[in-house]
Amino acid sequence: MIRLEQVRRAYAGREAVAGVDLTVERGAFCALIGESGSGKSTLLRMINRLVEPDSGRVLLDGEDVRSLAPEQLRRHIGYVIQSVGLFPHWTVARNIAAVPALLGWERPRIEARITELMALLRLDPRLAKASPASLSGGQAQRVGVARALAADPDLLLMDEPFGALDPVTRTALQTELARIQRETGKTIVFVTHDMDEALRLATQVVVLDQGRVVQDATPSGLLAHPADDRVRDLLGREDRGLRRLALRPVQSVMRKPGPASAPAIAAATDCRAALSRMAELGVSVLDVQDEHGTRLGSLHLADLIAG
Amino acid sequence: MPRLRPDPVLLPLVGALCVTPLGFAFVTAARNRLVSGRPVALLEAAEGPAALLGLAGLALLALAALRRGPWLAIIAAALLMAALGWIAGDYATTLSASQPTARVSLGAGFWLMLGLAALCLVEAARQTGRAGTSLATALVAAILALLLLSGTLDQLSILREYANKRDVLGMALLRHVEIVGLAVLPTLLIGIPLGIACQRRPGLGRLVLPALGVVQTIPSIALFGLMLAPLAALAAWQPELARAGISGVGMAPAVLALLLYSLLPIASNTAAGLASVPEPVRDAARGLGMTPSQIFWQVDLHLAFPALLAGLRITIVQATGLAAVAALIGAGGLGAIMFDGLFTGALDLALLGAIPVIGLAVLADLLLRLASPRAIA
Repeated sequence: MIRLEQVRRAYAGREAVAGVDLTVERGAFCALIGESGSGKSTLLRMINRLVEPDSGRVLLDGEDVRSLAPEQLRRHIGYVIQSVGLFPHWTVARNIAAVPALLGWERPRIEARITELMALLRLDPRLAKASPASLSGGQAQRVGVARALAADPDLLLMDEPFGALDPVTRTALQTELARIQRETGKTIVFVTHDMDEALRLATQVVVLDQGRVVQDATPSGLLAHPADDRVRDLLGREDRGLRRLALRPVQSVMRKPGPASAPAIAAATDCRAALSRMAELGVSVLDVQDEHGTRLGSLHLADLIAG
Repeated sequence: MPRLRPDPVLLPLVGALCVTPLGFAFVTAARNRLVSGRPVALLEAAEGPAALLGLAGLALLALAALRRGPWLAIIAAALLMAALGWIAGDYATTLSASQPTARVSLGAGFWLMLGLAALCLVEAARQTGRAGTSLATALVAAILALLLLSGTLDQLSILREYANKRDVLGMALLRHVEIVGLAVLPTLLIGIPLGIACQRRPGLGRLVLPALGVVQTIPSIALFGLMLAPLAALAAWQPELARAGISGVGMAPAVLALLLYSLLPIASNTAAGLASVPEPVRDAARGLGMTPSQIFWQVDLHLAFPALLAGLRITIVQATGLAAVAALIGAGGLGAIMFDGLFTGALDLALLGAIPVIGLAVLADLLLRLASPRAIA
């Protein structure tokens, strides 16, 4: 569990973080969202002491982060940044092994961990010997995430990790990250300025503006009750309804399978995609099927909208 | 008949090769080593099989230039270079048989033709790629070895100077390397930490690097001269130092001046190399939990290494050249032979001093290029 208590930090007289209290529960996926200069990166970097607060405390599982040497602390917290920052003179494998090597793991254990992580991040094992310069942007960030997970930290800090990627690669990596978080149960604190990304991945969304917390809520709570106009702006005034639909899987609103066979839709689809499909096909009923083609239920336009 | 496809680079070079003998003396012949010689044209000097080889080389080169045959051009240019050496050597041998004190020096025509043939070789090698470059290098080395070992060139003035000065030349070469080594080693010990400090404290860098830049603009003779007075005074004040060989003339001021010249390339390249380490890489290194010294040794230094090595290369090449000038303040080395030749008017002796200086610089450059890691890209 992470607790920030009244943390402040000023740069050249301007407060980047102006008194923030924040709690992130163990296993949570917390997105810090806001515009440039809202203090979200500074806040994130306070957790692993890359930035020291002028005042206030940062507690990890009840312990002040200042009780540990910064290097010791950081070796047990994963860290991923937008520009990846792979060591260009090291191979992919050695990059991934960076923290285990710092922690003095035995060679066989490191080798095993590299293999395991490359599989987890779906990296081709042949890339182990490759130089970072030969990787695509998406591959490089996969290696960046693998490097952050190498010593199996409980907590992962990510500073706009997918911001520099093209939309297709970004979506693919978001899916991977969601899967990894499900599989490993890590606590993730994630800085982004992309509301769709935050709503899609996070269990807790913290909206920041000028160094203060404007709202701290679940994605659906944020959509249902935006605290003020700044949050409404971030959510996009026209898209709010659609974004709420996107949070809901079709299985949560479908009825029992009906007799008439309607066009099929996969059970994993969200309600926004289902609505789009209805509009595309000009129908008001869809047939929900699992991956084997078994009919699970039927989806009605009225139920979608009624939410 | 196959279609002509004139090579735009080789053809003008071949044209120049054809007209050069008309305008410039191929060699000069003098009664002894100190008087100036009489110009001898290529057509006058060339005879026998050497002349035939030269003609064949030129004809083949012309053919290669007209038909785009880079492999033929490599061989033809090499043959031509061999013939040029052979003709000059033969002429010297013939002349010295009748007049033992006569001296035959290589003239402007020889050097120009050799240079043009070498350009043909380089261009043809470039067109054929790696294999051609290897072939050209091997051919040139073989020809040079053959001409020198067979004694063909022995009667040329420069080789007669070499025969007289063989021992002195060896000593001078060692002395030259010693001066450069004594200057470069302390430069590394001072320059690298200085470069690191300049990069860490930009204020210091803005002060130190321009100051070292000013040192670079001081002409070498002036800087050697500037060293005379303080070192002489130092030696007079502390006789122990004088006994250890420190004085206003000789090695000490030469090494000190070279050290001052060498600091800029080492320090500024170290600083530039460190500054080129991408900020995200440092951020990631900190974020993963590397200590500042781990970041320095495992990341910064590795990424700055190519720039550092480039600085070392510049330094050694520059110091090798400048050390020749240091002979003027009595430091010895190859410069001593060079100036000996210049001041006595024996130009071939000056050449004998200058060629190894160039050779040393080229060799150092080549070795350090081979040693530098392939660029990270």
